[in-house]
Amino acid sequence: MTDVDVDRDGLEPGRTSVDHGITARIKRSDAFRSIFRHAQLDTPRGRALQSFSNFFLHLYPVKIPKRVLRNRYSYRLGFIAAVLFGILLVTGIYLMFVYTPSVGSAYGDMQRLKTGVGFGQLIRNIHRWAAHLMVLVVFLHLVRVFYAGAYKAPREFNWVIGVMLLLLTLAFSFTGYLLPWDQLSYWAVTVGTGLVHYIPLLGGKTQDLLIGGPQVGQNTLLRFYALHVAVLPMFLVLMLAVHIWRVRKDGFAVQRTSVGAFAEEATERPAAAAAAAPMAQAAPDLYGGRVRLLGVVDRESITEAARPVDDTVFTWPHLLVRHVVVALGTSAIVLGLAVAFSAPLRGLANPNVTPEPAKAPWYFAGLQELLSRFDPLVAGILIPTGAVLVFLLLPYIDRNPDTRASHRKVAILLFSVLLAIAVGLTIIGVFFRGPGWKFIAPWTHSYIEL
Amino acid sequence: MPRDRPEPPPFEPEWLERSLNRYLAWGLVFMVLLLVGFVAYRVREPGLRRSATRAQTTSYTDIGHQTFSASCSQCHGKDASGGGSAPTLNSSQFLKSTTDAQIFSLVAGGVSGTEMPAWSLDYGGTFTDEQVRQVVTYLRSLEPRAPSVPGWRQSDKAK
Ligand code: HEC
Ligand code: HEM
Repeated sequence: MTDVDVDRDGLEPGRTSVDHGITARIKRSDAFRSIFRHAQLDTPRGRALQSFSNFFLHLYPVKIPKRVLRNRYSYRLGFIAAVLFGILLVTGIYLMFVYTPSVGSAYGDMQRLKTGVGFGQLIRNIHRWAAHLMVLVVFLHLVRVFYAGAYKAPREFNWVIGVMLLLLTLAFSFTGYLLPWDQLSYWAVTVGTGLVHYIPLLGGKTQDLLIGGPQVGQNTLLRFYALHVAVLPMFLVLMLAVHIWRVRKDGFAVQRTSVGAFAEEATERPAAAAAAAPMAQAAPDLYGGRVRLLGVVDRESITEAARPVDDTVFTWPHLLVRHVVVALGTSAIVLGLAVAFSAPLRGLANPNVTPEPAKAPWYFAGLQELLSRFDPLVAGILIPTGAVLVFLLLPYIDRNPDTRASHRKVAILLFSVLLAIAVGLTIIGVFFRGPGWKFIAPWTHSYIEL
Repeated sequence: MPRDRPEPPPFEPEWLERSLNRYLAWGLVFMVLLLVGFVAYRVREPGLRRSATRAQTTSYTDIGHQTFSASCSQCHGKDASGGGSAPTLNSSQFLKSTTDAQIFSLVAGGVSGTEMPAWSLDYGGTFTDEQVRQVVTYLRSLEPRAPSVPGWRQSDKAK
């Protein structure tokens, strides 16, 4: 190695001598450079290079608005949902190795996880609790996106994709619920698919298609399995790719340093340029006070000039490290739950014995509560379908472009009332209902189904 | 170690560096927790498995007993004690010389050319693998108290 080789990329013009340390040698080797194609330099250009030259980092922009680093921006809920999905994929594949979708062996396979498969029960527990958390987190993500007004232009369609992701998540839970083939799964799915029957005209046919026979049986198990391990993952991965790609293209919905709504759009207003100079003084902590102002030009085309202060930081390492740490934290929480609590397994599915009470898992408890109060056509079909439609179309119904809470009082009020009703029904269904769907006091008995 | 390169000037504020380090510290904590979690499970696993196996054996024995009474006792006798047209399965001679896997395949596939039918769905019978396993567990549970029956292979008629 000669000195000529030291600075192949010309990134360190001041450098004249060779470092002989072992790591330095490895980093200089052709093999290393063929994998990591750039020098690792702690300079702005070096950090940008990390992103440019890395396939995976292309998910992220090279620089992000500083505010994206704050937890308050998104509470990282979308990211946590994606992490949970990753956990579910990995543990799901492990479970596929030991599970056969047959009424004769499914239940036994669940028991075998407990008695004979290394880490079997732990993996099942992780899969179960991660699934529950995913439903919760995806829902909270939706709530956060609503309150932030992040579904407004240009993100309307990403909201629609999001609602589909929520539906897919619920479909995942519902199909997965049947697979252990115990009393809990058998009856939850019997009751759930029974609702389909109430769809006007098409009800009977749809139910047949779904369960493949007069009652939940081998055909249902096989269908749900195929949906759970092949069809739904394919759709969810596809939708998720579109979802994240849109986030990347639309930019994160955060308030930029320039005044107004979120957005790059805001910075395009020439008026913002006028605000530039005072802003620079108002934020002396940015980049140690060294604010680069290219110029205040009275023409719209020079957008650089309109951004008064560089409010961005490098994705690598700042956002990336935060994401890795959040992923680790999420995994730690799921693992903690899995070590402490085992996934339920009741007796073998028995079509002749209805358990009492036959309760849906918590995320459908609100629906079940509605069903106990209204006609099944209304509570089981019309209300849920209506709700889904309203949610899908929300960004096209609410055309108010303003994202500030004080300027969208009606939307926030309506949404909050709906949210309160949904949460209220769910709480009643989960905690206050016992055998025969009678009212019970949760501090005396509890019939919570997970 | 030659270092004639000047330190690059700081291009990011100090608070950013500090908050990054805070996150890195948390990352370390989470990694330790993950490690502890897996180890904790691994340590408990043998005990958990033993108690799960015990619980399973109890319930399989019960169910297997019921199945046996319903499907097998007309030939193999009540509680497998012989007396019908088939071998006495509740005998130390049979149980000591046969493994679970062997009983499983005998019950699942039957003994061709004799009255003993195949029971598994795989061979045209009516039992799931689980049910066969339950019957096997039941028969195995008889072993500790099984009497010695030298003529266990003969049915009553042959005796
Ligand atoms: C129709 C009468 C009949 C019924 C019912 C029957 N068996 Fe048999 N079984 C026999 C006969 C006969 C043999 C002896 C076959 C032979 O000659 O090897 C036998 C043999 C066996 C053997 C093998 C013993 C050995 O090592 O030779 C086992 C195990 C067994 N039966 C279990 C069962 C079980 C379990 C059931 C109920 C699920 C059952 N049998 C039901 C008639 C019956
Ligand atoms: C499988 C479920 C989902 C996953 C994995 C997911 C993932 C993500 C991720 C990683 C982001 C980036 C910002 C963040 O971390 O919050 C995001 C943003 C977004 N999500 Fe989701 N999401 C899901 C479901 C939903 C749902 C149910 C909705 C709403 C109906 C939704 C609407 C949005 C919108 C509008 C954005 C852009 C908001 C912004 O830029 O701040 N997503 N999503």
